[in-house]
Amino acid sequence: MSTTFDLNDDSVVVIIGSGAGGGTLSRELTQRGIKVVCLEAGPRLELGDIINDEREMFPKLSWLDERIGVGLPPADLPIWSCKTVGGTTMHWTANCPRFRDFEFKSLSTYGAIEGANLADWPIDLAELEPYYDKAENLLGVTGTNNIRRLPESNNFKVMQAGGRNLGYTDIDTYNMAINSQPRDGRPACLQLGFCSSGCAINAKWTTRFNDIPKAEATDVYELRAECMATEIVTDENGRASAVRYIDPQGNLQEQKARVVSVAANVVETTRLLLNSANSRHPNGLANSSDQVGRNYMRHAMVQILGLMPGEVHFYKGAQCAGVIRDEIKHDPSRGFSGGFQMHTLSLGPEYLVNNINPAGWGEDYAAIMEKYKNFAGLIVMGEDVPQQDNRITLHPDRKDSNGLPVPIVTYNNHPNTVAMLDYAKDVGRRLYESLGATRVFTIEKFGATHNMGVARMGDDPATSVCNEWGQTHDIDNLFVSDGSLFTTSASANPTLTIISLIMRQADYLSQQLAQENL
Amino acid sequence: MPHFSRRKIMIGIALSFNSGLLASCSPMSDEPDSVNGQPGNQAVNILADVAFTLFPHASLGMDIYHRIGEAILALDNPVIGQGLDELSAASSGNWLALDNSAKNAILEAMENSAFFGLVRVTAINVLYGTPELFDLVGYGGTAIEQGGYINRGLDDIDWLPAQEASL
Repeated sequence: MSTTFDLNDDSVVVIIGSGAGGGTLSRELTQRGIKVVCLEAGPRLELGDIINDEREMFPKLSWLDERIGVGLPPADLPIWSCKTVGGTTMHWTANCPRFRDFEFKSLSTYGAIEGANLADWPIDLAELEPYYDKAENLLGVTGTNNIRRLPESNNFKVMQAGGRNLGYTDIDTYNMAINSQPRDGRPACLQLGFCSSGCAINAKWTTRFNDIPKAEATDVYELRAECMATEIVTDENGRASAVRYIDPQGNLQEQKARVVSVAANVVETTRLLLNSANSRHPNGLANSSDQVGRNYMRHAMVQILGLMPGEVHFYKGAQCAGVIRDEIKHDPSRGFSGGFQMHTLSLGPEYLVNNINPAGWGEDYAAIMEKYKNFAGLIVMGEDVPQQDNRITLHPDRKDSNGLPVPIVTYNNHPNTVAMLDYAKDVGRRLYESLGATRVFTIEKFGATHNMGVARMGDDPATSVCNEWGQTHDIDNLFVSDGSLFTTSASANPTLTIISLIMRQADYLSQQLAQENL
Repeated sequence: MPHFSRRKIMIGIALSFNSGLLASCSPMSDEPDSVNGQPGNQAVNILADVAFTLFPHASLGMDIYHRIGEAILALDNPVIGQGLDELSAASSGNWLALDNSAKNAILEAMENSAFFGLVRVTAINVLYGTPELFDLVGYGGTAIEQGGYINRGLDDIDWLPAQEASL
């Protein structure tokens, strides 16, 4: 933590963002002695800053700069990302599924779908498997590496019993980056139930309390918190040469760089690339394909809540520790392409009253709320097909408080997503009704913190932004290191795949640096 | 003067979409003696009654609904006075004397008004974040001081049909 680099030191790798991507790359590079300056827009929280109160934690963790949503309402706010050291790993619920092999090959598996910009990934499962292995070991994922799974909560048991009634069999408390037993300096989970507000005891893996301290234990790492990157500067050859940022005092600074990695989560990654346009890169950096900001994906999601005949107390325990995997398959007889998973989810009373019916009130509504302890809940998470017009753009005139153009997020469901959600809602309803649910509610108005696809990987520079290593096709020393890389979304929670991709990227990047290719 | 800052409004919007929460109201101060001619305590009584009509949890008692009424007044927003005037006009000046169905009908007609939205959001903000409500609905909330739920009912469900243990 004592290391500081000079602003004119052009031998450093500058990483923008300290979440799943930027935090992983920070650790991977510094462990090999590569000098890194990491710019993080948010502040550094300590463990003592994390409390079990959603109302307190939401503004502490969330990215709340102005964004404009267009399309399926609300297209802006489900883009939940975090502004804090550790990024969205502070907020994630720690589900760690791997992609299935077919999910790397959607175009060749599903065939072309009208209106969808499907493509196969430039890598497949076999290529990523060694990195999944490493990532699962690093994070201590339950159900891998002989780590026992988390215990079964009431909410899980309800989902499991209903799922079995429908004939599902691939059900357990999921692969979780939450300790079921003490490991790697972190304690076992106490089943507090506030995973997405930050884990107050550090049982959940984050880059904040794992990768970042490991990087800071080296003498080649400087994390600059509360430093908001505004522009990537390119030199006379068009290569990335520096990053401009606003420091905590509000002053504009410029850090020279040998390599720049953008890991700022899709909206900010897009904004940074587009806002760095110059005469040599008139459409923004790495955007000769016009694909930067396009193919934005966020998973097909619907929440199913059952009002059960007995008490559940679904707030007790790790929020998302439970999964049914049987529908993760490509089976066009269901009326859509791609698969979906179901995992447990719980809501506090405020969330429930605001979301069961966003305009609800009256005697019946209050009576439903008084049955709070009888609620069980699950969330459907399905593959979202990429579309050219689901995208992040910059407002031509409107500027935010940093003087940056306000991002516009445009998102609409593809018919494939609508068909998947209709099918899944029926499944969820039958699941809870098979156990005697008196009411079943569906909530579609929000997404997860799953942001993917605005700088997709591919072999063809005309149709993709980055190669299989996350290196931009246009600028060899500019890398993208977050979920923006995803060619397609799969049905899996993205973090484990982001970490695995960035571990693979780090192997390539360090090799390129060692060979003086960058 | 109490008011929502832009940041608070953004957080409020974010939470009402995303996590159903709303940033805390500004601290109460400068409670007006009257809103459009209504004595302050009468305005609080009417707003409390409207909040109760929206989310009636009778066993909580009316104190908490009065707190909601005070919190609404403390917003110091001009639509509050306008809304109270509308309620007064629709109830011939005696809202509190109406029966439930009449109150419901009047409020239904106002559902899309800024006043209604403000009352509803503030009612939810105050009501559904209080320990009294948590106790009523059976929400445990934070359990860190008790060592979490791992030994406090995590898996105590007893009404499900017998299942094979999962592997």
